[in-house]
Amino acid sequence: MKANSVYRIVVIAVILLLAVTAPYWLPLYYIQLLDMSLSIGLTAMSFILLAGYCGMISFAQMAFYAMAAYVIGIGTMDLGWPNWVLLPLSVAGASFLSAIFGAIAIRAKGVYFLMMTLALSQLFYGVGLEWESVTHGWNGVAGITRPEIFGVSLLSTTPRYYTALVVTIICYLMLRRLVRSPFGLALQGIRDNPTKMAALGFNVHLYRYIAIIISGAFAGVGGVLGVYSTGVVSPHTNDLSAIVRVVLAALIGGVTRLEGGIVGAVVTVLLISFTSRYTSRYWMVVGAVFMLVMLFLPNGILGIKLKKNTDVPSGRST
Amino acid sequence: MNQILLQFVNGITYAGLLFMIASGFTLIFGVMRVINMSHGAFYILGAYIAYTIQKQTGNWVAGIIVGSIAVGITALIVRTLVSRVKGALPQTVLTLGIAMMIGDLCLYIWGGLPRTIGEPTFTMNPIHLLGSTYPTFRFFVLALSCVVGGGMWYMLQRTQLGRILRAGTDNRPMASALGINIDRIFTLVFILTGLLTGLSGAVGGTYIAFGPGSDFSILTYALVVVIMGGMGSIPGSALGALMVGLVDSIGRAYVHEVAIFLLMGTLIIVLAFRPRGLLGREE
Repeated sequence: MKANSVYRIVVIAVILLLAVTAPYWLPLYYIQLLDMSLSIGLTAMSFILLAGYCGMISFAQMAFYAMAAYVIGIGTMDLGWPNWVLLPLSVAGASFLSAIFGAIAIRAKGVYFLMMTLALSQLFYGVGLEWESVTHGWNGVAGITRPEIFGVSLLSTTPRYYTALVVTIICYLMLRRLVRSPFGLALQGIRDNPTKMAALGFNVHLYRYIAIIISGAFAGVGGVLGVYSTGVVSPHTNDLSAIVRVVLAALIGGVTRLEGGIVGAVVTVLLISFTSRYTSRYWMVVGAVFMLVMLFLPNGILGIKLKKNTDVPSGRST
Repeated sequence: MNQILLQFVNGITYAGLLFMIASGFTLIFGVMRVINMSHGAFYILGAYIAYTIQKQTGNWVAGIIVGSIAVGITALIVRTLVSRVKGALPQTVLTLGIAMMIGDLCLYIWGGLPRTIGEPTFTMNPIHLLGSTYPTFRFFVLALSCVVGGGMWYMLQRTQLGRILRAGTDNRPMASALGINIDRIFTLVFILTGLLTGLSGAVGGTYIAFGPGSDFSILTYALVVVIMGGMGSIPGSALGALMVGLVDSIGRAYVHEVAIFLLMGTLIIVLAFRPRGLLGREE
């Protein structure tokens, strides 16, 4: 047990050291990719919070991500609102959207929940595409200016990467605290046996609903990081390939652990970047990898290594 | 007044197409509890193949036949892949990867430009309706969807296969225990859906333009229709298609860019009163 905790501390220290020193030994291009991975990874963690800890597969996380990104994009470029208003507003917007989606989808379980969230997410895509006077339609908002932190503009990659790293670590610690709190334990109890938890006096719907809103807020933070990373928000922020990217990140990492989201996101973003260098058919490769992961590694990379006997929560069908 | 009536007719003919798209989707869901996310990809694959055949031979009917058969075969391949994973949720997630691959394959073969299939010669002459001309092809779509709907009703209610399908939808373990080969039924449902969706793609590709991204929007419409009508129910998807078709056509004509909110609002209102959809049943 003691050797195990020493091992863990060493692993965490090495990962942190690598992450912090990355700009000194990696080309800028890879720092940009890592920055992107952090925003995807944070969103994948919000997916895992619902999938792994509540047994709800939500395909709407990228809609919450896009909602926050739209608030930043439209607020900065069209309305010229200050960042101290926009940053809380974007996360509030994502939570608000998740509260609406959650209210509709909460009664559905299993595959029905997936279907509802996918349909709602796609309708949100339609809003981005068609409500041109606000969202600028197909092209979206581009060239979004980044804020300054302590006099350093986040337009340059390295400070932006460090900011994203700090934000992601804070969010990870918050999520970890959450799933280990009595609230998080109740969620896992509801995942495993909702009937029993209801009999014990837990308000199952309310717990699930709050979890959806929390995950929406974290996906929103991911969206803020993402929009600062790319400087663009458009309907494609929330299209099928974007959904595939975040779900693939969660699946590769293994939906049973939060940190799987970050690991999976780094792998996914690097995979897309590498394959797009050699072929323009990289979505075909991503689709194939997605299929292979579902066929052969249903517990993901971390999932298999750490807990051999853990069932994928998605394996429980109704 | 005529304008409203015209939009109404538009909505109904559009509903015909939506029903054809959604009925296969709901059939797979009803029997297998799998949401086939490659459904939109099936649609554009059928449309593209029909487009190429029609372009090469000039024969529209040949185009839709080859298109639907090709998608039927694709569906069979998808079925074998899907059966390699256990559980409805992983199977559903798997079809997302397949959707990406088919979509990208179409982009590779046919490129990024939106296309429309040339109309068949027998619908070339427009019909005079309410003092204006109206494309005959849309009525052909409506008629075809009625034939498809009628055929499905007959198959489900009057044939042995239909009885087996309904038994499989209602109680899969029991049907299996009674000696029905559920695996073979799954394969059959997938092929049937592939044929039907290929047909809708070929017909829909003549009706409205399609291209990269159409797979995504078609999947959206299929999902909304099926959720609204009740998942797994064929009459439900007819009703859902009618509502979505009317709301979408009238919305697009009168409120333009916020029509999507109208669609979303309708969905929310329906689900508020009928959480399982209009004709959906409790699990």
